[in-house]
Amino acid sequence: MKTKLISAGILFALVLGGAYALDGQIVSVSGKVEAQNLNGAWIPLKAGDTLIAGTMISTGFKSEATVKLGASVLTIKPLTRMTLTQLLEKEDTVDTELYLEVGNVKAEVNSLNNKKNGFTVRSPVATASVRGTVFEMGEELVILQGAVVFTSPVGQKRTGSAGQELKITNDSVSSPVAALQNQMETIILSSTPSTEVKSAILATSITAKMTSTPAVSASTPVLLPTNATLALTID
Amino acid sequence: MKKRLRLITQAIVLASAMIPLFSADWGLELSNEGGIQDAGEFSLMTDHKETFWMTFPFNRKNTANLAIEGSLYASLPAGSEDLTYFADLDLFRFSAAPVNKQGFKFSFDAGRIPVSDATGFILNQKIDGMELRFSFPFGNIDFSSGYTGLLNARSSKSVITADDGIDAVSDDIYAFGSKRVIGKVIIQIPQAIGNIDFVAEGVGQYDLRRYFTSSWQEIIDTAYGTISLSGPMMNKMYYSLTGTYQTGIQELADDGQASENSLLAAARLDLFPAKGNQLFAQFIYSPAPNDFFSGYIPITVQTAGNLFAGGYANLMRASAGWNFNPVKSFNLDFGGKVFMNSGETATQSGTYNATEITGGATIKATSDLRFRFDSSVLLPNSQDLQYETSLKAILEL
Repeated sequence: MKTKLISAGILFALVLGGAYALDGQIVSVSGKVEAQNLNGAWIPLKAGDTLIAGTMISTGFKSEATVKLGASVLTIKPLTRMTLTQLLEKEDTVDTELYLEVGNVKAEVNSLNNKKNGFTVRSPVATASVRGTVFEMGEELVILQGAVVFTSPVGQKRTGSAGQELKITNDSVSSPVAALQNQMETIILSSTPSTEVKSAILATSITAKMTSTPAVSASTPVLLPTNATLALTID
Repeated sequence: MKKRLRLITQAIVLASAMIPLFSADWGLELSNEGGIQDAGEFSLMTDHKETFWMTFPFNRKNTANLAIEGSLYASLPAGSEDLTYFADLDLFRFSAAPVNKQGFKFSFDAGRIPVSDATGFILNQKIDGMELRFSFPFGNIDFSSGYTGLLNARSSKSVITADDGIDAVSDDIYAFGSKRVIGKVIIQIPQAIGNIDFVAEGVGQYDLRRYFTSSWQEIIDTAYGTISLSGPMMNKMYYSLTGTYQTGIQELADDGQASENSLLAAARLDLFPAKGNQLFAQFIYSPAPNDFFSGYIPITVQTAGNLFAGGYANLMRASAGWNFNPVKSFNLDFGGKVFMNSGETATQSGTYNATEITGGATIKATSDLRFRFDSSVLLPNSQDLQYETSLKAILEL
């Protein structure tokens, strides 16, 4: 009796708050795409299957799935494991939240019933939250349309716009130019511990020198200040 | 006495036992370079460096570790007939991140560590000291301080005064570096105003030679304040504006004191037009000596060019470059720099000084073997053309 009363109370509160759980729907599947059921077993997914909040989805090599979440469309790329943690329609907003354990997803966030979208993708290293946009998130965030707020584990935020890419470096969100510099994949000549950039400021700043601290060169073991205030007289 | 010895022995045994628990990592890097230079007269140069490094993690998450790196150097610099050689401890760094939670992260390094300022125009060397790093939701703060007097003089790089220069060219391969304390604080606020990133920095160095010897000729203490703004102009185009003000005092053993005021301003544009392509342009200005300004003196000595031997004092430098990485295993880079004096000097009329053109290629032959080809041509205002070309091979074991 007590349990029934509590359940009714929760239902009443949800109705008063105007919150309704939505289901996601698989639109298309290619390759090996599976979802974990309540017993922990992995079952293959097919077009038309329904997804509820809490479902974990996994894609295999060269496999992909397209999922409709409200009016938004999520493409789950190959070798990805993610969980749909929340899909809720409220009075003014539609809140969608995913936990991306590993891999890459592309989200096209659209408005449902003219309501605002709260679309959040969390990963072990960062959080991306958007309102009406298209973006891809894996190890780095690629913004294809609109604006995305990218948040580091410490809570530092950076808003990126269409065409920009953001990345977490040393637990901070790097500037878009630092991410582009990183994408150049310039060959690193020396990778000993002394060349490691440990400061979040130097690793993420556009103003910091783009090269790591150079190792001492024996060819110029001594550089003398040619424009020093005092002329050097050295025998 | 016996009890103390037993405690020390137990501590050593315990520390040794911890090492194999969390797999120590190590490596060996061999770097060999050979080249030719003609800067007035033709000469050969060679450069060899063997580096051995080890890291010891103290826990499974590797949030605390010890890194040690040492090198043997041997080189025949251009224009020299004698081989220069020395051994050095490049790094002895204990690192830890004791706090890493939502809203706050604190990490630090202690020991012999590399330090750099946010611009790279002031400080870029190693010190014996520590760096504290704090991350908050609003941004990052770095503190560091250290001493340079225990570094090998041949690699100390903190060469500011005549006395430092004399120590640095000493024949003694175990000569110590300049006796100087260095401090730095940097605050970075990403997107502080709209899309503009803000960096504020204070750096200073204080010469302790005055406390170690009475035979010094010159002592210089300096402090630097820097403000930097940066952000996107377009999706693939970014700017940065940096201004550094230098103030300081020069003490001469026989001629009293003088002020050391100067500034360095830099503007830079970076453009990434297509994948693997980066174009950049930069302009640097520091004033010529006059009644108020002396010369810009960085803590870490550096030249403004490759073959161009001048520093950043009394300089206007316009530079541009193109980095082209067509594939992951092959990189190309080209650059040009025009050096002008901000004001006429006693030895040179006019402001134009020299033009330098550089080109380079990096090849990753295997995951452990890389080659770097460098070439520079300098066209000085009143001297003959100079050039340098070299090939370096780096092997990791």
